[in-house]
Amino acid sequence: MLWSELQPLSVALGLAVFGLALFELGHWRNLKQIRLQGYSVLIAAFVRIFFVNLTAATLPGETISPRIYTVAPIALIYFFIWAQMQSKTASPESSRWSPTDLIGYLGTASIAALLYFQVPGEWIIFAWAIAVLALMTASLLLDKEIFLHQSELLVAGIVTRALAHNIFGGSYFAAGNWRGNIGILSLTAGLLLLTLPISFRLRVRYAVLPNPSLLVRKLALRHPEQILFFAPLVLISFMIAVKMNPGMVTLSWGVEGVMVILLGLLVSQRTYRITGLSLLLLCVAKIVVRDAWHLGERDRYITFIVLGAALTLVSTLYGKYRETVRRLL
Amino acid sequence: MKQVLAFVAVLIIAGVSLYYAQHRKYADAVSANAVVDVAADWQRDISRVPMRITRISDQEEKRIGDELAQQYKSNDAALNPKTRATEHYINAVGGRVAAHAKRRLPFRFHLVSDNNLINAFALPGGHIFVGQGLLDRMTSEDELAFVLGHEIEHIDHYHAVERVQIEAQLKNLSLEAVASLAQIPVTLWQIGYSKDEEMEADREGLLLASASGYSAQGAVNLLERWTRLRQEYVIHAENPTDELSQLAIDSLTGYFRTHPLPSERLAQANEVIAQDHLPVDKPLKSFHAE
Repeated sequence: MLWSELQPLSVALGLAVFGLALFELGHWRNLKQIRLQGYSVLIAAFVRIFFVNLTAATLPGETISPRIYTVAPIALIYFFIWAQMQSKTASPESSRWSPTDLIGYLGTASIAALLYFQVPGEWIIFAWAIAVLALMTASLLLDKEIFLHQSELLVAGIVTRALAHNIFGGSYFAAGNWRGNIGILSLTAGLLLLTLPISFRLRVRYAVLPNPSLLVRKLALRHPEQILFFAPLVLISFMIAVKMNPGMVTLSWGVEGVMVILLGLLVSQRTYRITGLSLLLLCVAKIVVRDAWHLGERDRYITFIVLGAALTLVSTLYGKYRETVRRLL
Repeated sequence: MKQVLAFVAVLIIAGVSLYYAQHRKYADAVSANAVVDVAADWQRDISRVPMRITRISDQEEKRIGDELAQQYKSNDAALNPKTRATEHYINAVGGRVAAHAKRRLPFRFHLVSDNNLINAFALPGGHIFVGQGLLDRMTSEDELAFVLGHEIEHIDHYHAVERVQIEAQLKNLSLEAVASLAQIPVTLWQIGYSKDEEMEADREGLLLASASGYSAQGAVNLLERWTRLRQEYVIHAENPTDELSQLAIDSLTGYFRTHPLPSERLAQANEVIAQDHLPVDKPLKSFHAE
């Protein structure tokens, strides 16, 4: 009836409200069958948004896109139900088969899909990075692992999308355009790095959990600081390689390497320091193999001076903090 | 109590949204476009990496484009004096617009004298074909300049040549052989590109037309008209059965027809105009094909 009687744009929202009603009824009367029907309807609402809502046109004069005012409330319904399911009495079936996680994932997936279709193509990674920050904050404040898992999945999406679209798939003539060049990528990497303090706190929190079996789960729960460090690092390194003036690539990687080593020393992370050193070694190798023979005179001198200074600085730092470094290694 | 209040708040928000969605004047069509758009854009992004590495030279692109254009022109009816004058006219307008393109290619503009062809398409190397049906629906030279700018940018940004590269890889064709090129159908360029590529061609084409002295209002007028036309002609399913059959047809025929919605193109055009302060108050040049 909802499908027949409602406008195509309203069907998904109608289904979500109906799913909410079924869930509430099942919750109130403690009827598992009704709750299960509610979950099915909620899944149908999620599928439906891909057939009308996400491609709904914003007409001239419309201040809010129909995508936003039809998909965002659906996500809100998912999160509301998810929040209710957190109470122990709400879903006794969650121990065997976890609709709680499913509903939580549907909420975040709706928002991620909405951002994908609503935001201009090159800004999608930035919008998703904001979502990662929000999810990490939610994970920290609400103490819910699910948001950490979701944020890490989204980080994987950001890296894939950024490499495929913003770095390698971008316009061939965007050199002067900061949006297609380094601006959005830098902002995204910056936002991801902003989540590092949260990642360290979550690592401490989940370190006491029993060893999870799956590697992905282990990474997500026990080492979020690695994923949220290496993701922006990969983005920045590829961005430098592809988007920068070829004469400045080695120099930029060198500066990046020093920053990474400093960060590694600051937060006492061995992997960070090794990565920074590897970047510097890569720079030295690139200078020997390529830059010394192919770079222009000005770029060559600048690269040699800056990289020489960087190596001296790193060597001094390692000399000064020898004991600390040895202990951490 | 808190839960009840939160439940009521969620219901109110959902109810208001439902009210607005129900009372919207525009009836959105049901389609698999969201999935298709994502698939086409990812396919394009992933194929871009090898395309960058195996980029063919401009010289090679021109040779391939000339061969393809020769084939397609031989299939088209010969031009009469009137249509020849029209072709001369689109060459004059196109030449002015192409002068501002980034790549130095010999852009040539061809008329397809088919009143039913409401389309334009670009081949690699600089050949652009415009259907008579499309010209018949234009009301100003500024609109033509925008359309030609859009097609020029498909060539300028390597969209057209990447199509050949991908097709050659998929069919294992040698781009050296003329016989191989004959196996590439013109529909490959007529069906449009990914959403990202179309939006890029729109954006850059508008800037190109504007740099050539044309009013950006031409693009706005054209896209507004297409928005209205789409609203009138798109099939709006009345019930679930219609929706499902429409969806099936759309999915079968629509995979590569990934042109963005005219309303989205219009929104982007207005954004570019505002950002780049493009003049819209210039008087529109009249369309005079004869």
